[in-house]
Amino acid sequence: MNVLKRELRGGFRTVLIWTLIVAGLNVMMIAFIKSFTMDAQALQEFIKAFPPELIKAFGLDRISLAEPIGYYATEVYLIVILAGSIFAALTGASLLAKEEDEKTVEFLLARPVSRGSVVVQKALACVVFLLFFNGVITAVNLVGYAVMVEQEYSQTALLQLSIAPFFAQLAFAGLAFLSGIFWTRRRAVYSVVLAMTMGTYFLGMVSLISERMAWLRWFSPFRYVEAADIAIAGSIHLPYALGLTAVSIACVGIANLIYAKRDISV
Amino acid sequence: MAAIETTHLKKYYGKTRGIEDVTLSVDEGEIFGFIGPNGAGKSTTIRTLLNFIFPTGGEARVLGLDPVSESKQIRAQVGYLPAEVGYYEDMTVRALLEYSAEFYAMDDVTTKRRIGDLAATFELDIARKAHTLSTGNRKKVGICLALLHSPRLLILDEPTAGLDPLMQRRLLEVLADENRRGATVFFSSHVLSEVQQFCHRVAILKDGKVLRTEEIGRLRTGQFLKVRATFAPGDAPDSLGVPGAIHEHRENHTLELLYNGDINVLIRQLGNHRLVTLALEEPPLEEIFMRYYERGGETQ
Repeated sequence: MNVLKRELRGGFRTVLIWTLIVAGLNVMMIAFIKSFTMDAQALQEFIKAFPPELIKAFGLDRISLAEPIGYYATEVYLIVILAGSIFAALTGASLLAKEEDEKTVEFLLARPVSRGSVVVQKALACVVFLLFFNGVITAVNLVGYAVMVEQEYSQTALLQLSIAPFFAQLAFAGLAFLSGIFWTRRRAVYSVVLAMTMGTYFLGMVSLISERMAWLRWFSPFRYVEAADIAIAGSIHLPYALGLTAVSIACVGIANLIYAKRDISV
Repeated sequence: MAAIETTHLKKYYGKTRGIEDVTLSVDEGEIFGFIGPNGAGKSTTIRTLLNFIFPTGGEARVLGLDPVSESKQIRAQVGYLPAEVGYYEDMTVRALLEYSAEFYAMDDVTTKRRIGDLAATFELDIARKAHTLSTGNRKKVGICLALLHSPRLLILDEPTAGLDPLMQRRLLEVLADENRRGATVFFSSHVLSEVQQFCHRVAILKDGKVLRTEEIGRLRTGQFLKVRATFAPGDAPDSLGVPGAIHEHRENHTLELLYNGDINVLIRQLGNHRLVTLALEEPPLEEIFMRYYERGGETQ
């Protein structure tokens, strides 16, 4: 497992920076909660003035910004899932692509290690990074809410909302990991996976706004862990979480098959 | 058993030729040179043997194993130096060497000793980060990585490129020691003098094809003689007109040629003219190889 160890050691600083920035933003957003929940009536009136499409897109037709869980689902969750998914996509994309881009692939594959083992160890490193990122964010959320929120709220719902982005991130990381097989220059693969992440985010938004375009939701990992759905249900929809995990595993499996058979470029 | 054996090995990248027909056999325990001009296919052959790329046709065995299906077992016994070396730039030289040793399950004591020995031999500061290394030092790190686990077969792609002459000599000495230990050394080069000094046999590659595999001694001697004769004014012939004389070239009173016929015939023919000076010498390998490249290996 020395490839895994090397990845964890080599990538930890980047992961820590991402984690601290997103956790810091979360703390800041949680600190603002009082100003939203103080005058619920006035806030509801203010939101009513928004275009109906916007209200729908952010799930404000189903949940209330004035309640702690509603606030998290509409304000804080967006940061975690969007930034976290970008982080996951970039991390996943770089794991294989960087070896060819930086010409270290001959160093690595000249050693007695199978390509399959390299793929699996790198994928595991990505999972560890995501677990660390989401573990810290979840801890920050739970502690932040316990310290700064005075109103009653469901801790279970908060926990579920904190964990949910992990599954979308897994799917993005898997898709990006697979992309790293085809685009072996970091700049190229980063562009591809950023376009994929932002593109599917907007697909998800469109599917929420327009009834006619609702079918697009199936193509957006974001929509499988929709904050409003989780806030209302109080839990993640398990089949969706499993589906996102399956997408990720399938991507790694396909990456493994292709990587084992293709020429290495340097 | 041959350390490396290929039969009509071929590699195409789509329609682009990598190698066309590489047939060679490297015996265990020998030092084998693989030479050719840039683009001849030396690196492509090596990268096929190590399964970085997949062959389009032909067959190959390395240490009796199949490079595609048994690549991991091959790499456990091979030390490889790529022509262009890439490292994890955030790591120190020591960390790179230790990381490499982990793959070969080397114990800590052996690893530490080997790293110390190699660093001393190649005058390498192992505390430096990879991104601070000069081209020559990067090459030295690559050489240490290839040698670290005392492999059975060393495959080195242009190993002396980027090294100063002193370090080149030291490398060749170390490789000779490795060879005495029993290691087979297979190295590519376009620096003919090192091949001349160092190898037992050599394969000449041109346009993706092995033109010849030859013992260095045979290649150098018994085949061509470089002749330089200066004649008295007015008696210098344009050509000696003897069989086996090629590349005849006269400038003023001096005639130069390459000769691979009966020496007595040559001397008799030269005696028909009034000689001032005569020099006979073995031609440098450069001249022999140039002829291979020019004539596609037809010249014997």
